[in-house]
Amino acid sequence: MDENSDDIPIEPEGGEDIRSGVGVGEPATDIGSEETLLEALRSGDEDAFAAIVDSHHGSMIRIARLYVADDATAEEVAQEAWLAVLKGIDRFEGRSALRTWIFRIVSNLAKTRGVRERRSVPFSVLIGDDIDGVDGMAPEDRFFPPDDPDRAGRWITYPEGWGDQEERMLSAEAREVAEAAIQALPPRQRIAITLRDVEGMDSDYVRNELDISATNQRVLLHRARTTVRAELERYFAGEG
Amino acid sequence: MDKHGQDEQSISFTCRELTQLITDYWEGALSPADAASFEHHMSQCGPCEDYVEQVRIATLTVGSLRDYDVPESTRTALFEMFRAWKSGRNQAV
Repeated sequence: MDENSDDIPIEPEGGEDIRSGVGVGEPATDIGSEETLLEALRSGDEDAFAAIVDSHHGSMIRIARLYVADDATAEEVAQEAWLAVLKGIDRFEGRSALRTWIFRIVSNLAKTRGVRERRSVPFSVLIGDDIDGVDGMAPEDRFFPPDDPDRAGRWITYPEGWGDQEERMLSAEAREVAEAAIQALPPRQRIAITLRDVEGMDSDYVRNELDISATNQRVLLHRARTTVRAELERYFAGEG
Repeated sequence: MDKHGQDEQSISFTCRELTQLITDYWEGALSPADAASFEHHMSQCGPCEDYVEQVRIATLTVGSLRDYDVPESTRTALFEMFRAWKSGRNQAV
């Protein structure tokens, strides 16, 4: 197969996916069934189209919304992307997963739209906004300072064990808190956590999307996760 | 460099450092020695173990945000688009 088809090489990262084995994450991609699906789509099968719309439309809106200013525009971009998907379906060679290819399309359309409408901050302005200063990754004020002779870097206040609250943490309320926390993040952290942890894309996809190093991809992702954890803690502590 | 006062075990992490390395650990980005240090620290330190578990749960919560039902109006619009695409395609062929 042509090395350069479908734009992005996808090499799964060797690291452990912490969501595997816990019932959350990417639905299994069966190559065989994806080819069957593509054939059906190309032949105009409406059930096949319904299936990919159900699988991807919500994700497409979420991705578009990373770059455009409001939900209505994100919905428009997602619909525009579907047309581009249909028009390009004969040229799609299956080098990447269908989902990855669709995400590229919606992302590119959304970036173009965001820039054209001047409603989103240009990417060049964002560089460095949320990577510099690794210290931001620690839960602040909870450790003894580096000059403490015996206890430097140790916990001052232990994180309160969540123990049997795991179920609550996965409740609808917790999801709202997490959603709000993500929306409030600096743009690139929001992009990283949305693509990795909501949509289940791999780190190469995110590096490609943001044009950043593997290290910076992890920094952005970890900061974002740290913030979401802190917001959940704050919310549930406040609730009593 | 001994700012953390750990002259004997330079590869071991403080709690503060460990909290910053969680994603690196999960992504397999730590060297084998650092990964072993991470695991050793976790096995000895209840608060860090709790903290890592909380980041994991937070990440799972984020993963659950993907649920979405396509509204009927959107579905209708998309199917119109699909049929138009299909009929244009059939004419072209």
